[in-house]
Amino acid sequence: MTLLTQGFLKQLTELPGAPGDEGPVRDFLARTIRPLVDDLWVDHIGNLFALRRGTDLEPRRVAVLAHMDEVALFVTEIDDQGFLKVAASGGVNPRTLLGKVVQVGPEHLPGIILVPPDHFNRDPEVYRKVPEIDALVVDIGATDKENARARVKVGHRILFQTPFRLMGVDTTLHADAPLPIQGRISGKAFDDRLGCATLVALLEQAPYPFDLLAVFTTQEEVGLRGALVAGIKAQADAAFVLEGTVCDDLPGPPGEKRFPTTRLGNGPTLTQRDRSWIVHPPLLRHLLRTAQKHNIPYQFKHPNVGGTDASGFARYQGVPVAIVSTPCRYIHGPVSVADLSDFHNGIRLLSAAFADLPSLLAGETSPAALRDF
Amino acid sequence: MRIKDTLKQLSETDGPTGSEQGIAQAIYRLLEPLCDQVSIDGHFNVIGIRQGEGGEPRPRLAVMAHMDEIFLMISAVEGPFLRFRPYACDPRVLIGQEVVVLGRRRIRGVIGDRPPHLMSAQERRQMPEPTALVIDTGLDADSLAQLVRVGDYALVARTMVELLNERVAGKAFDNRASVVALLAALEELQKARHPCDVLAVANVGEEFSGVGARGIMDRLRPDLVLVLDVTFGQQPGTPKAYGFKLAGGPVVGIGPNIHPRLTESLVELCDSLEIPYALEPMPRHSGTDAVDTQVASGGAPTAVIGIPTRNLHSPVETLALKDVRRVARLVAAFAGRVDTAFLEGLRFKLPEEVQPS
Amino acid sequence: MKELLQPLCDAFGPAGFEDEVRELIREWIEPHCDEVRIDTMGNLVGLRRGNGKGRRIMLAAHMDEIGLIITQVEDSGLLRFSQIGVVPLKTLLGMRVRFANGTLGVISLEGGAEVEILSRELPDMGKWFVDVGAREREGLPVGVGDVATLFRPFADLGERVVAGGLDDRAGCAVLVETLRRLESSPHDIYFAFTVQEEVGSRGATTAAYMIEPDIGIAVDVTSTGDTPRPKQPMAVRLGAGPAIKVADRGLISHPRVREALVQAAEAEQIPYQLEVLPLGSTDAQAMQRARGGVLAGAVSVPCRYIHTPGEMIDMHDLEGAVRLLTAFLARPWPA
Repeated sequence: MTLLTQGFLKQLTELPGAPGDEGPVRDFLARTIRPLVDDLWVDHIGNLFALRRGTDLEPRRVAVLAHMDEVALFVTEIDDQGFLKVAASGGVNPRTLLGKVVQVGPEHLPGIILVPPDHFNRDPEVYRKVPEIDALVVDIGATDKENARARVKVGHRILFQTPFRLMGVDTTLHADAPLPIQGRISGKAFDDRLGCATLVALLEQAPYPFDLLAVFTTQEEVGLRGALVAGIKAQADAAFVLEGTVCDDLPGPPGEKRFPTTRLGNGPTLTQRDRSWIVHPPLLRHLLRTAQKHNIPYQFKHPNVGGTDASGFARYQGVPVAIVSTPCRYIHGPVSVADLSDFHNGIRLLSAAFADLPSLLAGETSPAALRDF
Repeated sequence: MRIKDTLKQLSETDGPTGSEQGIAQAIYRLLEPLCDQVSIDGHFNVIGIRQGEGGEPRPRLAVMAHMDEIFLMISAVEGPFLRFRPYACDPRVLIGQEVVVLGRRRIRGVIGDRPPHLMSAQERRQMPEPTALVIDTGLDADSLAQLVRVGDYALVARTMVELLNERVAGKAFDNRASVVALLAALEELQKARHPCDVLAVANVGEEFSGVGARGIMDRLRPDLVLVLDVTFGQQPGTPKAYGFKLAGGPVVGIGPNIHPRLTESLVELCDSLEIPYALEPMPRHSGTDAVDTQVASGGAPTAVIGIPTRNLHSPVETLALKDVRRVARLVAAFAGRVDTAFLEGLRFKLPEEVQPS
Repeated sequence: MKELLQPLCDAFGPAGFEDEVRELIREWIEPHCDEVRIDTMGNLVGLRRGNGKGRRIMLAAHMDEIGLIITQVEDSGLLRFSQIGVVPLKTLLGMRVRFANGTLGVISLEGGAEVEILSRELPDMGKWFVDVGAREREGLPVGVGDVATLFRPFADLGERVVAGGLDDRAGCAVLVETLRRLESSPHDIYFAFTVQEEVGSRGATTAAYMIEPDIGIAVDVTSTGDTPRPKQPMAVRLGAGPAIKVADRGLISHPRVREALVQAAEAEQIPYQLEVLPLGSTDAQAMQRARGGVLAGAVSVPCRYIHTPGEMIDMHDLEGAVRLLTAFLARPWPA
């Protein structure tokens, strides 16, 4: 039986994992993967490492990364009326916030992001302005400051509270059933719990001919900080970064032409370069060849969009890195949408690529390999 | 009746303006055990009648709470996406919102946004026009075209959320909270005596045309009307005079739209019941069905009682359950007081020397 | 139906001054009605009785159109004016007008049309005037209170036609033709040709009060979304059949009325569209609110460029509207 059940993805995406406060996600993942790995440990910044030994006699070490954290809000102040003032922890989309339901602090208290009443201000310019995040107010139902302070402290994290769903007509979730092969899903934190789920699936299909070091990183959303630490410690020969990446294939205003960077359902996304890193050409070529050989759909993301743990992980040691992502609509907001075939094809692509990886790694240091690309 | 459970049930029932069949059925079933007679008219207004104990002709008191809710309407099916128009919905809350499309089937959807990574600085500062937004159902274009037509309704998907201190947040509390208060008031009346006939009305059409309230006035011709509706709860951004404290008790309207004697009477009742209350200044009109009930088909003396609610016209209208209970008590006590003499007392008095012959 | 449409469009009838249109229609409908009345507001109502087993159905199309009214006469003989209904200023410069007595004139602007035409800004109402070619105030053929319409002749483009006032002479034509073609119906049908719609459905309000129908259906034009980059997107297209209204700014059609119209269209295989109109409203909203409330809806003729001197409709849509109404009226009201 596969670990990739509907209930698994539901739990994984619904758990809170604010930057620097990834504990619940880490604990859940550690419990899930413990039977699949030879060893596992946590470092000082909260990264979860899991080692699955390979079949080769002198195995190389390949790191595979996915980040556990998600964009969040952060309690900065509790005012006299018992309302919470907040700041952003990560690049949350401010246009999506008003009127959303959130969970606050370790008790997961339900809260509401207040909607400033518009009835008293009909100036359309004011009305259409996106609120500054430090002007937002979260209501937990407290009657006054003392009442609120009994349950919430400055520094508590605030996360969206969005149920995981299979989209479509008359779809109900069956916790123990495997994820469907096709169809679409909606929920929170697909960036990057879909990466985490991909990594769990890859561990499940191990062993590979190399030592696989799974790294579930922290603090990606506030500057790839977990990956910076992991990159030094991992001592890997190569690395793959798994992401839930931007997808902007929805129509804009009527009649306006758009050129989406990725499209949902067109396959897992390969990156050539983004704003922070250039993917190692031989690794990318290996992925492309694998996709063609096994007839797995894929797409390229527009260059120079976004950044990932790749640059954090490889920044100091220049480890060869590739990035494979599942495109997700509406990330950095309360609810994202992804396509299950993209997700499954990503797993297929990676596991097929892993099978052939050692030959590439052996030749990879030779200049010929680079020229050949 | 558990106020919280009933509010949750009604809040989560579909009932957009113009298509109130579903919510009308739900309210009909709740009204049945509390009234002598219940009916649903051609516009889906639900009307329950509790006969009073006074002699004929008895005064007829209508207590009205509208049951329709704000909505989105599908304006075009565009490939795998749906365009829509918001009706009375605050467009600022729509992005990142889960919705339900009431097509040939109930279909879940999401109103999303471009990723902030790809937005210009200008885009990040400004909310898009609702015409630029789409609903994403996850269905392909062909299936979608089979299931959804122009003119179908969509509602925000929101189950009720319980906050601290018996406060709750959810959709359509405007005005299902008042419907719940009306039901709770009728329940109190089961144990009490009331001289007048009480016409309990859950009406349609408030959020758009007022067609429900006007039709009710024409057909029922009540002597007196209490309109129950939600009003602004205090929160950052509300002016002092128009933001009413949650758990601060019923909000009694005062102004030209309201019969002055009724305002006085409700305030006196609050005092004698030891219920806290607030007065809502309504210098022009009340912005509720009372606008119509005061004048339609001859009209009737009207009063408005509000429940303080934060985030009006959003999916997370927030209120204190205590206020719903208090409104119910006030309404029940008021019904107990309405008799022929009370009606007589509502007449505007002329000076002694100019009495009509 | 052009033989109905052209004289209707050529007739003079700003809101409140619908006499010419009314006379035209009265002659056409009298032979087909059991009773014809004109009420105090000037609404023309023709009644076709049913067999006593149906409902009271009111159909409304408005006779009036937008126009101009003279507010002031200058010594120079130039006339200042104000609007009747929503007349977009953008359509006025250089346009000719026609008064009830046949006087013609041209509209221009303070500051010199030659200069203003280059300006990006649109001057407000007070800066406009009509020139009827008079040398001075003395002997002017028109004065304060006289009304005019834009002079906009009917143009036959074949399958489509262009004219001013298709809003809502197209609806009037549909009603007249429906009345002529209707063979039998269980219903008592009131064909109401209403006045003063363009200034707020005033005629339909009183007519619906008096008629007290069970069901009210307005027949009017609606916008389309099939021209380049519409600011208010809409799913209605010209030539794709009559539109069954779901909602506009003043009305959410009663679901039973909407469904009955859809059923009639589908039973007769008449192509139709569903309409959600982001702007504007029709007499249906006045009917809906009459008395204790009326089950109201509307059938719309798709029309491009509404409230300009060049409104355009497709004759297939007009024909479709007649067939749809005829089919609807011939059927019993669904239980």
